[in-house]
Order: sequence, then C-alpha cells, then structure tokens
Amino acid sequence: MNAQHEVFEEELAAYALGALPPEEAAAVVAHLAGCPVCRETVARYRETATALAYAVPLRPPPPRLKARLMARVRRPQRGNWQWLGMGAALVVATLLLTLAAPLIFATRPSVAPRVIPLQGAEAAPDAEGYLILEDGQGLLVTKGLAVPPEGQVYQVWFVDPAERRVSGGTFRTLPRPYGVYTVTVPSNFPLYVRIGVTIEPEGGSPRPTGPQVLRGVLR
Amino acid sequence: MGDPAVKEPGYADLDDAALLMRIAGGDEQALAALYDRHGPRAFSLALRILGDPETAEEVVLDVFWSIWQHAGTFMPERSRFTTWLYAMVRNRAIDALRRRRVRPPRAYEIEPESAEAAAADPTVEALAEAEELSRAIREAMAALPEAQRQVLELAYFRGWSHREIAEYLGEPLGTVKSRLHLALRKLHDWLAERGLFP
Repeated sequence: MNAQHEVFEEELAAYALGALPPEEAAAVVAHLAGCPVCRETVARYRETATALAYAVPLRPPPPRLKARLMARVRRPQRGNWQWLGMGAALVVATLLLTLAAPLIFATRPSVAPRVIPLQGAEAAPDAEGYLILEDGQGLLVTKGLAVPPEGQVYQVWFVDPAERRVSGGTFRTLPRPYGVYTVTVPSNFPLYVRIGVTIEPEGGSPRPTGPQVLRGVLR
Repeated sequence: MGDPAVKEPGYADLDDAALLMRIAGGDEQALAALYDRHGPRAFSLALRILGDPETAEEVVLDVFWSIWQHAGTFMPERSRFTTWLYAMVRNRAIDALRRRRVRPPRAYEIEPESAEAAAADPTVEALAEAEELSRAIREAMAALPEAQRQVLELAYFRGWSHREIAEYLGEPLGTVKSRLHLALRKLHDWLAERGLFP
C-alpha cells in the first residue's frame, strides 16, 4: 500500500466512525461513488465500528420499555386499511396542491375522482398501490415499494387492447413506506385497459424492459 | 404476548431478515422477538453514550418504532441488520446528547461487566455469536495502546469529530487521524482473525 493510499485510509476510518466534519465527509462520499475498493474498506470499518456496541456492559432495559413499544404498535395506526387512510390524507393534500390552481381558474364541473387499485407484481409481490384520476390528472399512491437500485427508476405504463403501451412517466421512491407521484395520463385514457409499473433504466424506456412491480385493471 | 421477558415460541428461531419480513407485514410478535433479541444491547449502547437511563429508553423506543414503520425498506443483502441497528441507536443517542446536552459518562473507561448485570437477563446473550463478539471486542480494546483506545472511544461514544478530539487532547490533527485509523484496523484484524467477520 503506498503512502498516499495510507493517508486516504485514515480518512475512510474516520468516515466510518462518523468522525469527519461534513465537508470532508462529502469529499469521501464523492470518492466512494466511483471506487468499489474504498467502498469495501468503509463497509469493513463500519462493521468494526459496530462491534464497539458489543464492548458495552449489558444493562437490562426496564421492562416498561418493551411494554411501551408494544402499546404504541397496537394503537390502530397500521393495518390492511389504515394505510389507505394515511395515503388518502397524503392524496388529499397533494390533490389540493396539484389541482387547486386549475380548479380556481376553470369553471368546468368537477368530476368525482376514480380510484383504481394496483396489486404487487412479480418483482414486488408485497407492494400495493392506487391510481387516482381526477379531471384527467393522475396520482399514484404506492405502499411497500423499495428504493430502486442506483441508476434505475420506476416507469408507469398504460396498455391498450392491442397490447400497445404508452408511458405515464417515471418516478423514484424514497426509503419510506408510502409514496405519492403524479402520473401523465394519456388524453385518450378511456381506450386503455390496464396499467403497469416496471423497473427501467434512469430516464425511462420507450417500451417496458424490466420486471413489473405493480399492475391494475382499468376496465 | 404476555410476560415481556418470555420470548414468543417459534419466533426466536427466525433470523433477523425473516423477522423483518414479518414486521413489514405488520406482525407484532415478530417485532417483540426482534426487541427481545437486540433491545438489551441497544439499550446498553444508548445508556453508555448518554449516561441517562430515561433518555436511553426514549432513543431505543424511537429506533424500534422506526423499525416497525420502515421494516419493508431495510435491505438485508446490503449489510447486516445489526450494523444498521446499532449505527441508528448510536446516531440517535449522540443526537440526543447534543440536543439535550446530557452530561456524558466518562469517555474512556472500560467498565468491567459485572456478573450481576450479565446474569440479570439470561435470554439476552443466548446468541453464542454475540457472546463471542462481545468477549473478543473487549479483549481487542484492552489490547490497544491507551492513546488509540482513547481516540476511538471519544469518536464512537461521544460522536466527536477528529478535530474536536485533537482540540480536547491538545494533539495534532494528523496524530489523531492516524490513531483512529490504527485503532480501527487493529480491531478489525483482531476480530477477522477470530473468524468474527465474514
């Protein structure tokens, strides 16, 4: 190992311990993006740093800690339908933001929103989603969709009876259980029969190339 | 579930990844089992950093609540669950330390683990691997030169940057960086030689 690399290893060790000030940490992050060898080193040092947690003498937590945790979990905040409640709150907020301007300036009668459920497909069997359509605008609410791998995005597709597909746009999920995204709805939307979401390279594809994560039936 | 000290039958045999999958599906018993397995270590780490049992309790409660809410987004293939868990406990404890200006415990003392504490919960160290790692890391720390152990503990348990450590010790920054690196590398090699790292 040369001297310069040794110096950089010192940075990596400090980085793995979280002992670098933000500007130096940012420089390390930039280097790591293009250096698999250093990423490996950091991963090793991180595991080592974690082992320090095992150097601490064990002190049993008070029993009430587990009781408090389980009591909080049992509050009706989660379940098969509660998430829709949370999602709906998000949707209402986003719909207001997205749709308020056109509604204020337009006088056309508002149409009741249509909600289309989406099921998890082969690449994300546990994911769920809803497509909400109102006045030709679409919002996609997702649950349990993992952050896509680096350099990849999710892409929405509308499928017509002849199996032709048109893109509804791309999105990236954040590491959160729920997400809300705007979807570009084709102007001749009533012609489409199905909707799907696939994993595609950054920027999207002209037609689906990756595995499917969500699908739903439009009519 | 009944007595908090009793592990749910069956769940104790599942590995962390399997428990996380169940937690992502809303399985409370899986969360209870994960807490039984890692809660005591998480609490001990938070307590070591904060020196205050009440704040340590809040930190651990927060971390396990996050696990309940975000279990589906944790990707076990990227790193070991415990690496993520203890990093989260440490970060939140250090945040709490800074926010509440809790007086930290003395930074560089290795407390002997009392038989009383170890015996208090016999289920805690049921995992042979955790026991072995615990013993090895203590030996490795004890084998470090005092100056190296000191910088490592200031960085890990107080969350200080290398500059803050250099200022506190009145040592050049380069010396502190080099000690941190040497200390971490020695710990790594010590653990790797004993087959405790993949």
